[in-house]
Order: sequence, then structure tokens, then C-alpha cells
Amino acid sequence: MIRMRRTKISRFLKLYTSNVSACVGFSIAAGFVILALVVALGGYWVLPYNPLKQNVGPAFSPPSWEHPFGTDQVGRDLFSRVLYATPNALFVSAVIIGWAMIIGMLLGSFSAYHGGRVDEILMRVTDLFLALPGLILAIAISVALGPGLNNMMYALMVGWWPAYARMARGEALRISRYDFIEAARAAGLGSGKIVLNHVIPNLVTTIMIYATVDFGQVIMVYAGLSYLGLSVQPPMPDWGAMVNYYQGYVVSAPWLPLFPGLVIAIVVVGFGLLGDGIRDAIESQT
Amino acid sequence: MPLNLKHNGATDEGAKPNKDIIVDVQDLSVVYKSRMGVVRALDAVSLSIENNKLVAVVGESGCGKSTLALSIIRLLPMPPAEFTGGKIMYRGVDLLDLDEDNMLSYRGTEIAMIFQEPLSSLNPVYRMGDQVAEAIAVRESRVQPSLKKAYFYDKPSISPPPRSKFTLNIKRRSLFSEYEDRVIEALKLVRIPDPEHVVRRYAFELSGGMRQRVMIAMALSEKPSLLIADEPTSAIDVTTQAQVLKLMKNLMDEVKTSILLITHDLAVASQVADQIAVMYAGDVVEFADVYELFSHPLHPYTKGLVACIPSGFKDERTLTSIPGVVPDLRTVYSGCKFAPRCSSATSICRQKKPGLRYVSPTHVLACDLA
Repeated sequence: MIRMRRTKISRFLKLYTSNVSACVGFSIAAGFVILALVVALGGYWVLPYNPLKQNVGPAFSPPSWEHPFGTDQVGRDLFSRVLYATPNALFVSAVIIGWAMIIGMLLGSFSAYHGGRVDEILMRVTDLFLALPGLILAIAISVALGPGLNNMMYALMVGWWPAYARMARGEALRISRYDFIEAARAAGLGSGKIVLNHVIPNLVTTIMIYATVDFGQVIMVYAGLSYLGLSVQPPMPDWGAMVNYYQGYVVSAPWLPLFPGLVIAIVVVGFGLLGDGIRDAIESQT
Repeated sequence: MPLNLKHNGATDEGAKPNKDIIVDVQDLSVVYKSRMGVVRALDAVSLSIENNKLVAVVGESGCGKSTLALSIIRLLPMPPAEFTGGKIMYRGVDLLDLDEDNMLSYRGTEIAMIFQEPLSSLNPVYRMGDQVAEAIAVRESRVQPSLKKAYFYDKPSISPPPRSKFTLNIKRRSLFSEYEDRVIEALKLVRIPDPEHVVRRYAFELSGGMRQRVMIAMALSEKPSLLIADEPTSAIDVTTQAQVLKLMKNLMDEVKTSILLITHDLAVASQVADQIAVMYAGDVVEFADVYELFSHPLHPYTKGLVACIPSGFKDERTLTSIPGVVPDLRTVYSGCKFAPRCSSATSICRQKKPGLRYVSPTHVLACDLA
């Protein structure tokens, strides 16, 4: 048994590592996660300069060994600022994804298992959320609540679960048709226990794969909202906000909007590749 | 064979009073409502199951045998299906009167069920030990106090080890570790070799026969009064079939349960059944002790079925079959449903539906000709 599991895992690893882009994705994602943890725990101490302190170098100095990403108009070190924004972006995305997974799985599988009117009502509510473009909904809620990291997180939470609920429902419908669900009913289990113990464990993998692929998307939307000024407020640095903040200098000091934007792109692509790699490895395995 | 047939207007002089009935299905009617019409899946079916007897229900596909099984355990998908009449008496309680919550305490504890396809009947993400333990745990919590019986094996005293305040309980203690002794005991009951090893395995790692044994262990672990087996051996290869059937028959005596075996295979039924009910198009047409049914089949349909069994002799060039097709269950028949295919049908057969009547104390028949 144990041997069986080990071979399964090692086969997965073999498939995964044979895929170059998946490995690149994994390195990027892992790098940023470690970076985020280090910065979150270490604070200013692990950064080359205090990200909020002005005149740590000459204003508008281009990238150099001293300031790898250059400095901005008040002489703040852009590299430190970009690094300092990493934990926010990743943790907010993780919270949103986690929330969407939990709510989506619970709602979707209960809905599918019960069927009938319960299913109809829950899915129409889900459709209602899906009908509104997610970004617009998030902007609307975010603006209504007022800018700020927490409010933006709530806004994204509201709009992010329906896709997961839909997917979980589809999977749960498939799983509910299996005999072991009927066997569980014949054994006298109540519907709550059946959904939690028999339906959800069978759809977790699918949802997890979707979540890894989706992670990059959340970061992108997060950056978008933050670009619109709905995330943390200046002077606190944030990737999207910095792109907005520095875009006036795109001609005179192009490195200022370039580096935050580049980091967003790298993170989104990295997590996308990671998710694709995991999906490919699991799908070709079975 | 103590069918309560008074309500059919038939004579029941042959019936002897019997207190030993576990399940008494009386005039049960079930319809499936669909856009194509109303399908009368069960048309006033009566059947009784005595204690410690194996009753086989045989019939061709679509004759309502699975509907009957699912009705007794109340697992029919209820939006299309509907009970339109009759009773299912289980030890004096009409199961059709129970609401879903009350029914839960009968499922598994009093009436257990095993299914045709043992692979899909086991959850792929659980080890066998946890799965059997779950079945035991559920029943533990659900046994009706009034119906509580002595356990088949001695109930080990399980006192969960005291949880230290200072250890982080990250992994929930598995159900299996809580019920380990009883799980192993249940697997030994179904003659699984090396149960300590099997409990750590997943369903896909076991053979078909093993899986079905685990299903039987789960079903019988709490000593139900009735085990419903819906085509339990159809998905298993023939050599294992015999083993599983023999095992079920032996366990029936060991655990003192009754079995309702649903099958389309007359050979299977003849091997293990005490009584056989023959169903045709939603009716029980003949219900008799197994020897009597095979030696003196009285209903033309049963006669046809028995005649269809290949003799195995070389000179048998063509296989016998019953002419005609199964009637459409959406139409209402006033007469006998088998009349169109019956060689000895008379005009009365086509006008009046024959009720079940006793031809001998151990033989019930729904045919006016014999």
C-alpha cells in the first residue's frame, strides 16, 4: 500500500520534472513564496533599504548595483519597495483562493447532492454573481466599502467563489451518481455526512488543480484593483499601485513603472505555469 | 409462505399463521412519472420474507425487481418515483409511513444493502479499514433503542485514549483506529484472509470478490435483520460468484439474518435461495419454495423460464426462448400482462387480472389456469 502510494507520487514527480516550463513555474512560484515569507517575518530588516524612507539615494537614479531597480522621484529604493509589496499580494491571493475553494466546494456539492429546488436556488444565486463581470463587481464593492487592503479582499471574496461552486457542483453531480454514494445512503448516513465524507474528498483534487491555475489570475486582478488605488494607500508600496503611481515618469524614468509591472507579469506567468504543470502531470498520469 | 392475501379477495386457506415474518410487502405499487408517461413499475406486489430465509426475486430486466429492493430500503429516487399504494411492514412498522430521519435509523442497522458493482460501491479515497469503520460508527450512533440487539461478537470496550491538552491534535484520529477490533472482526467474518493487511488497502487494490466481501462485511457488521443484495454477483467472474454466494448463505445462518436476493440468473437463485419469487412486468407471478418452483412450475412464464435454461447437451442446436416482448409498462392492462405471450391464454385471461392465490402452503401463484 505504502509502496503503491510512493510510486504514484514518484511518477507524478517524474512527469512534472520532465516538463521544463512546469519547473520554471515551480521555481518562480516557490521563489516568490519564500520571498514573501522572509519579508513578512523579517520586515524592514531583510530589505536593502527602508522602503518608505526618502533620499536613501539620489532621486531618479537608474538601475545600478547600489539600487538594482533604481530610485523614484523622492529617492526611495524601488527594489526594496517591490520586495516589500510581495507578502501582501501573495497572502491576499491565497486568502481569496482558500475562501473560494471552501465556499465553492461546500455550496457546489450540497447543491448537487440535494438537487431539486435547493440546487435550483443556489445555482441561480451563483449565476447572478457569474453574470456580473468579476472585476466590475469587485471594483463596485471595493469603492462602496472604501479603499484599503481588507475591503478589497472582501470585494474579491464576494466575486471569486461562484466559479468554484459551479465546478464543484459539476464534479459532485458526477460523483453523486456513483454507487458508493448510494451505498452510503443504504448504510444510513445522513446527507450532511455523505457530502462531507464522501462527495467532497473526491472532488478536492480537481478543485485544487483549478485553484493553482487560478492563483495567477487572482494576483492579476489584485494588481488591477491596486492599480486603481483600491488597495493599500501610499506611501505603503504595492505592485499595481506603483505602476499607476510611477506611470507619469514612463518617459523620463522608465524603470519606475517597468519593474513593478515586470514583477507582476513574472509572478502571474510563474503561477500559471506551475498550475498547468501540475494539471498536465496529474492528467497524463491517470 | 405466509402471504396476507385477504385484500386480494383470494383464498388463503393454505396459509398458516407465521410470526416469523421480517418484511411483509403488501400490495405495493410504485410508479415512475416521466414526460413520456406514467410507468407502473410495481403493480400491487406482495411478498413476505421470513426470518433466516433467503428469498430470491428473479425476472428479466425492467420487471421491477430492483424497484422492489430500493422500495424496501426507501432509496428510490423520489421525484420520478412515487408510492401509489400498499404497505411495507417491517416488524410491525410500515416503512412507508416513516419520514427520512426515522428511516435513517433503519437503513444499515435493520436493513442493509449491497450493490451490483463492488468497485464503484466503495469510495475510492478511503482505505478499507476506514470505510468499514464508518459503517460501524454510523450504526452505533443510529441503533434504535427499542430494536437494539446483542452484537454478534462481543463489543470490545472502547474508551478513547485521553487526549493530552498539550499535544496538538493535527490529524483527527481515524475512525479505523477507534473501531479497529470490530473492523478486523467484521472482515474475518467474511473470510477475508489477512484482514490486518486489507484494512490498509484502497478499493482499486482489491479483486472483485474481495471488494464484494468488504461490502458484505460492511452490511453485516451490525447484524441487520434483512440484507438486500441487488445482483451481488453479476459483476464478478463465475468462479468467484460461487464463493460469494456460498459465503452469503453461510453468513445468513451465522448472523441470523434474512436475505432478499435480486437476480436475473435462475442458476444463481436455484443454488442459494430458499424461496423464489418470479416477477413479470411489475407483478409477482409466482412465489414458491425453490424445489417446488423448479419441479412444478405452474405459471406459464415460470415454465417458459425454466424451459429456457440450456440443458448443455450437444444436440441442442437452438436455444429456447419465450415468444413475444415484455409489455409496455406505461399502458394500463386490465387482464393478465403475460396473456399476449402465453400459449394457453383464454379470453378471460385478457379481461381479468388473476390475483395471487395459494395452490399449496408453500406455493403462491397469479394464474387462473393452473
